[in-house]
Amino acid sequence: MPIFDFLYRTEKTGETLTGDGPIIPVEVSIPTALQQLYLDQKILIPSPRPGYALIDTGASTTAVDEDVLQQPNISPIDQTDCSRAHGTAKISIYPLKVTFPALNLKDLPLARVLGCNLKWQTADGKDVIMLLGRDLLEDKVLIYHGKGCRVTLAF
Amino acid sequence: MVDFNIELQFFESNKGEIIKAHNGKFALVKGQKFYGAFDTPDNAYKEGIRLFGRDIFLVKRISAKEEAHRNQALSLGIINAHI
Repeated sequence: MPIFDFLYRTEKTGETLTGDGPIIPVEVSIPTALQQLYLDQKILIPSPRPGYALIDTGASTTAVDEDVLQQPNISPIDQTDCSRAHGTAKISIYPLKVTFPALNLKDLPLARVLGCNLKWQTADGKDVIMLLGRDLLEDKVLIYHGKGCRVTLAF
Repeated sequence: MVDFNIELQFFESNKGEIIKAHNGKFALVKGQKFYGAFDTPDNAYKEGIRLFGRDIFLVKRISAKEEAHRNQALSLGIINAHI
């Protein structure tokens, strides 16, 4: 079982786990089927969009910033109602493919993620583009070590 | 936001029949036509891309219970707050 330790403290940034939360690098790409269509139609395949995913145990479903999904022209495949503080809103559901370089997980297909408005940067300027939900954590072990500013992921 | 009204209305109108035959699978719907049920949403998407290319199509979970997404941050609308 591979085990990955993430330390959220450096001399430059100090401790960031409490302020920013457990974030890990992520790259968002178009789904493989759409990529194949682009290849067949000789359309330039958009580059993967790098950013950071916040591990969010309060989220049942992974969510991605909608701008990140719309730039490479990924169309939604469904929509759902989402209860919000200001009432119910429609949220689009998208397919995509993600890579977590720090976890050695490449081209992981995600069939149904929520499109949302994230627009969030950490204190040291990292773009958070994904809320990594329990659907992606269901086969992993997650240890949150607040005192040591460390998070461990194993799967 | 993409308008799935036609597809969703069609799905709702025919839901009983579709559930009876394909409960637990994923439906591919375009306009007012059901293009089949698939074991995974990925397979439904692949078929949708094969049939419709970059056109809009619906991939819907076939279930009597509506798919539930519980995301506290989104529900509360609190992604970033200064306190």
